[in-house]
Amino acid sequence: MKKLLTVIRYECETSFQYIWVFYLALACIIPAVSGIIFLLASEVGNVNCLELNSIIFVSIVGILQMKEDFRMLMQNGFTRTYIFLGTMAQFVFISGLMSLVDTLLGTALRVLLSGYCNYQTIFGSLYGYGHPAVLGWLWLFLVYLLFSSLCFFFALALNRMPKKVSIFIGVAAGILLILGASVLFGTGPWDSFKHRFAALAAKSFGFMADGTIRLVYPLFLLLLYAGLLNVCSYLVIRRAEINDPAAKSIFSLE
Amino acid sequence: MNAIQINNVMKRYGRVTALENVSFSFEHGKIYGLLGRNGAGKSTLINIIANRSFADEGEILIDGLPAKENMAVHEKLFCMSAQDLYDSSLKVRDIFKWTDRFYDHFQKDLAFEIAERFSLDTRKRFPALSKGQQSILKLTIALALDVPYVIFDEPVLGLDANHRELFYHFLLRDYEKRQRTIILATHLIEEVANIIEEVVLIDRGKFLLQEPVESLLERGYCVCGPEDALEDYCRGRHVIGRDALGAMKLAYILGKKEELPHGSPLQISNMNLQKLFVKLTEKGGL
Repeated sequence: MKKLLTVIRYECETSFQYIWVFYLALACIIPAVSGIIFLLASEVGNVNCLELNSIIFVSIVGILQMKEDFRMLMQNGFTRTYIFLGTMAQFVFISGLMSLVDTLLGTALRVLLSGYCNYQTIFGSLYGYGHPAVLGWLWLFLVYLLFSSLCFFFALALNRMPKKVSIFIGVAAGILLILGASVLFGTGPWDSFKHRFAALAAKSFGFMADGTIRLVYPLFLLLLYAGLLNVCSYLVIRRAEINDPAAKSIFSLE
Repeated sequence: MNAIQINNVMKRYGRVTALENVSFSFEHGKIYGLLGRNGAGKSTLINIIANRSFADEGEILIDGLPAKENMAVHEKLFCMSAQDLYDSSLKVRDIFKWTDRFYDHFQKDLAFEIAERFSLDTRKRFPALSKGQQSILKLTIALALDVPYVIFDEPVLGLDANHRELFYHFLLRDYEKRQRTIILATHLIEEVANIIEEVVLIDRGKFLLQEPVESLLERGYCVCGPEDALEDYCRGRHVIGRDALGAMKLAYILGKKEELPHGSPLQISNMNLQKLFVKLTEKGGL
């Protein structure tokens, strides 16, 4: 247990510094961009949904987890199960902290900028601003957790796959996406299916047919997806190896 | 049993067999040389021992405990890898700090002392170090960690002669203080010949031999002289290699050294470990 706590501490402590570097960069870039817009157009630039930057940040953390932390912890003799548990703790820590900061920041910006512009948060623009702040934080937390888990899973899967297989899967996924989009947005015999799919998708995001909003559905759905992705990640990481690239290239030449 | 036991380990990369039914053991309290040519399977075997890679078949036991995915062996084994696995965002002193937290028996003061002797700047981040300095960082951690089994995979990669000597000095000083198993996987055979007690030789994924250096050197010798006399001498003996030096012919023999009859045109000389290694692996097996 002591060793596991050390791994969790390593994961959280080393990522903590980057969170503040990220917010510091954001605090410099956003006013600078707004200032340039104000000088050029003589109006206050409409800055909205700053949480999108955090989504990109947690996604990068998810990808880098495999490249940096996994190797470092393997070097130090930890098992894959410990590394996985440490990673989960890191995702929860980063998502929890950043969603809290972003929720507070969003609320503050809405109040502070009320005289200049109508600042929108992602959660507020989707579900309105009448919900308790804790629900907004929980939703955002699960969104960040989902994105970090998704990117971690992709990084793990790509690491396990031969290059040709990953290219094939990428192309196949692209074709499926295009076909799916053409079915969804086109007209044809799929219309009744499309309507049912749209209704189900709206319901799963909490928008009920009678116009009410039930946040419990998206919260449950996000948790379910993140959980499923992490179960898949665990199954992949259990077989993840660090092979000597020199040895591998020698063997592949023979 | 206090040892690293390697039992029937097999590893394949696609259709190529990197390790084929390898079985032997590293006993506690000895300095081993794990020798083999490039691509012989040394690093693959080390990665399997260190749980970084998995064997397709067979198992590794450390003091009787399975090495695969087992935290119970965490304080027993440390592997200094030739690969760069350290977090690129950390400074050297932070890597020491985290190693101290990860292991119960890391001697942080000793690590800083060794780093100072090697003139390693502990304020630098890992990628900012030269190849030699990166090797110094890795071997510093391995030397300062008090675990029963330490594996050094190419420890002196990129090190100049002075730093190599300093490493061997620290290695022997450490071994005198606390007897433990040290496994050196290196290409610089002659440099470690006087340090290692026992040799494990791997060639083309197969285990060739495990023998104390002394007895191995006693068994290997070189005979030179005119071709006819040499052929007569070699008949029935285990010749592991041949060379020619002008009209003189040389034969490298493995076996019990016997006195030459009086007046024989042949001469017998000893072989060094490197020559023996080259001849054994040239032939592709015993």
